[in-house]
Amino acid sequence: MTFDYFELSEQFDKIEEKLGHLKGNELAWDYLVAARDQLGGFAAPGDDYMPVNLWLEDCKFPVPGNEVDPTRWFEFTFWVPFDTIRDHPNPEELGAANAQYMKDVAKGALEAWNNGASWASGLASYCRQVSDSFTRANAATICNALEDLHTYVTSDFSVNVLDDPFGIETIRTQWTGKSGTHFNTFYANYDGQVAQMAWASVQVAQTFAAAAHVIHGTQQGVLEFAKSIVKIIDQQLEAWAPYGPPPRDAPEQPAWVADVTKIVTSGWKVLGHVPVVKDVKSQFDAVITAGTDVSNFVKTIADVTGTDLPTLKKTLDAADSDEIYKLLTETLYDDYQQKYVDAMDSLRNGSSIDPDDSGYEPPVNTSDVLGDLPPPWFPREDMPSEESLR
Amino acid sequence: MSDEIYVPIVKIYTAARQGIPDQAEDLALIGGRLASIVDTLDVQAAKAGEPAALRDALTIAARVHDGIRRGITTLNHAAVALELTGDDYVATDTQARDEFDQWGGALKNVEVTRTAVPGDIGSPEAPGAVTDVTIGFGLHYPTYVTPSDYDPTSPSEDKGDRDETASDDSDDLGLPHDPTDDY
Repeated sequence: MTFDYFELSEQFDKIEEKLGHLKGNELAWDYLVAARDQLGGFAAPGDDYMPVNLWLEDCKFPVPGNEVDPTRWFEFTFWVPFDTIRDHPNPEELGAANAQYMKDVAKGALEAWNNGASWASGLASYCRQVSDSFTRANAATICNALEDLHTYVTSDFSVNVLDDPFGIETIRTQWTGKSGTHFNTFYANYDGQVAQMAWASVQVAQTFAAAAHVIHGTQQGVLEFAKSIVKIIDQQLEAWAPYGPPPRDAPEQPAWVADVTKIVTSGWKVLGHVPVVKDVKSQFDAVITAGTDVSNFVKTIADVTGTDLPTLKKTLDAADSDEIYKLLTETLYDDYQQKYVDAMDSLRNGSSIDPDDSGYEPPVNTSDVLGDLPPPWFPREDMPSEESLR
Repeated sequence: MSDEIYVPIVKIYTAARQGIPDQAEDLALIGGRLASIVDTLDVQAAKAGEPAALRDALTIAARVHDGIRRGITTLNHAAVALELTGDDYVATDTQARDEFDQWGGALKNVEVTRTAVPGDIGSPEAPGAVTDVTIGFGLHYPTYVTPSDYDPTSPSEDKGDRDETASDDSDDLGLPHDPTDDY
């Protein structure tokens, strides 16, 4: 299954919008509770007060498809002192002030609801930022390039050049003097140099193959995860009864979180290690075979799809937007981005990324490979330049 | 020229004009393909956030490419050196001149060729990547691919900013004036 960045990006947009709605419900609900509590609650402040009860009207939280009408839940009690009523020239005005309060509260609750979107604003961009490192690269493009690397570079290097029909071997041994000596040195080292280049090309392929596996596995996982978060928010929006109140229970369905470490190590074990060869010249065939193994491995990377992946258990403790936000961002950061970084970093330092598997080593250690590279190939001074000969 | 060579002149010219250039051509072909593969991998490494391991791998690939370029240069020098030595041999040795005169091979009148050395691919391990984007009709222009964010803002920092916004919004909104305060 090819990873579609735009599909993921769309899920992040949905999450921002829906989580904004959920937060809006919570903010508006809290606002209504605060406005009601401000009046002093249901208990009379003293003996000489008369309660005036008014129900909230015309207040709906406009969640598309899951509108919430809290009016049946909110009865407000205005405690008016008897003295005030008795002394007021026109007691009806007192009622008007209370009614105005109710209208202002209904209006304020809607504004509070809209602040949910303001709270969530930029969340999709943040999610894109957190997942930037592992979602932009294309594993299939890398894999195709690695197959080309094997076909057109590694396996195209040829050794035993001295067996050629052009008599270079004879010339090499029968040419004396300065040029002849250079010629001899150059060809004496030729096969070894070419074999080194083939070996180094396999190391490049090995590193990128291991990386492509990490990229692909993480990308598959993150899309499933984002979809599961959208589902969880939808469930919570539905759980808000049409007449309130907020849901108390966390969603039963846990978030779908890929176990990136397990995905990575299981693939890398298949990839194996490129044999460390001290004398690559005599083991040129082994080098090419190692290249073929890498090339075969990259053909299988795309087979790992969402449903095959090992997962982590992540359940929610609460049902509100803050908890879902935490689950979303911390999982994206800790269980995807940081695991991705750990996996990529381990390819450089050779340290294990799986705490459960102490004997496991990543398939490549690029610091060591760089250290093992003989610098530089084919020194220019092996042959005098044309100009120096004329 | 102080060099001496004890090989039939035809062998010398054949190696200089065909054998060695063929080897150089083989390397040049590999070099050209490697350059295009490295270009692809460089772009992908940038998009993957430039992990150090991939930068190392690109360094290794660039060294291979550099090795190929040096190999071709040296092979070119070798072919020319051999050709000049052959010329010298023909000019100074009767037997060599006779052999040359009797030679009827297709390579007899061929100039020694120098294989074009593939262009330097620079430092693909450097941050970002420059690649050609084709826009159709054979037109293309270089585009810089920015590295992805390998070290994003932590959730706690983002959450802090978000909660601050919510708190400001809530303060701005406030509650309506409580009418019972006036009674």
